[in-house]
Amino acid sequence: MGVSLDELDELAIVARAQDGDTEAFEWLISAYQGGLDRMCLRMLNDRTDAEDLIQETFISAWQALPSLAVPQAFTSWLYRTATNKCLDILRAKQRRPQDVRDGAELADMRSSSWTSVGCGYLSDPAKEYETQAQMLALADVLQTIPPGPRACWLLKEVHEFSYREIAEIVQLSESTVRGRIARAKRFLAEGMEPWR
Amino acid sequence: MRSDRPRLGCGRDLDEFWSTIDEAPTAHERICPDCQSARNTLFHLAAVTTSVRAGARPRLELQNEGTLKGTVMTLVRAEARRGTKTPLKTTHLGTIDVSEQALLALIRSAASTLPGVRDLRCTVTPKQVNGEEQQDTRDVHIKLEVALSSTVKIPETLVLVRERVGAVVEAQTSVILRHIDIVVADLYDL
Repeated sequence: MGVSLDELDELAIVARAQDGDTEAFEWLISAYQGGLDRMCLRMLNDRTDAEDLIQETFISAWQALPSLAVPQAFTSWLYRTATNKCLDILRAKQRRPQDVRDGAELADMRSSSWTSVGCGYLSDPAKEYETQAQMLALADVLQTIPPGPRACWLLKEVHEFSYREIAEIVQLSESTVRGRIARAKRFLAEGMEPWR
Repeated sequence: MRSDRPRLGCGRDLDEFWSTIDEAPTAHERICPDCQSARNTLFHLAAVTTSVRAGARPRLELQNEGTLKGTVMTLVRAEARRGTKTPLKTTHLGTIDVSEQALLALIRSAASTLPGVRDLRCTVTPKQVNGEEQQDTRDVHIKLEVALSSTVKIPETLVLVRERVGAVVEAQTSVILRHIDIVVADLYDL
């Protein structure tokens, strides 16, 4: 019997998926779906768009895997594809009138993508309420900054990629990425000032 | 124009200030109330960001995870079923094929049963004569890339991999692997 996928390192699993191993690809979906979900929801603030986009991204990944030069490139390829699709959607939305959503729908969407009500990771209810309110405020402020800096900030601060990795993902120089993240931080920190 | 750019109360260029915010405070920043206030604003943002990182995971990962994965995998498996096949045997009723995926799974399984060996990539090519695939030769060419533990002896291990893969595949499919190229693509610490 061969080794189970959980005993292999991720590069070996990507390599298997490159050769058409469906079980390995399913493992990769499980490993990356949560991260892409968080990234796309926070970029788009729209669950339906985010889910469609993630589905398209994984299907593109399956088709592109055989031509991926090295397994090490998989993560940045996946996030690059998802980020570019997010930016395309946001550009398209800018060109057409916004969908009309009622306040309750927006509040629910924002709440589900940013908070974890009832997960109990904070024991003090008052503190938890305050933290939830601050996270929702951050979600609102984030939507006011341009998509490019928003993507870089999310990749750095929420997904914990390095500057070099983000430069690969967004295909910009490392210094441009640093500048964008600094700019995003400035906007966000200033926007969060009333919540201090 | 640089003079048009926003500045802190102390006159410091705001963009320059934010671009160095991850670095240790300078002598000026340690005593300047404007810079200290701006830094405190950032620390507040950092605290909320930490909450987002830590707190937003559990609930999100429950939503529609299975549905999305299921939809993608249905399409992926349908594509995989349409993949390449290698001829196993020809009878009076026709050719019996084995899917390339099944053959690859067998090769991987055989290689990775050896201690200190992990398969990375594998490709299978039916024997070709004058550029054309032979349909009834049961004679295929494989290229296997492996990662080896740094504790194994490479030449001896490669001999074992070649023997093991050839024997298992021939025993279970009757496909004869006359040509097995093995590339050591990586070493790992065990």
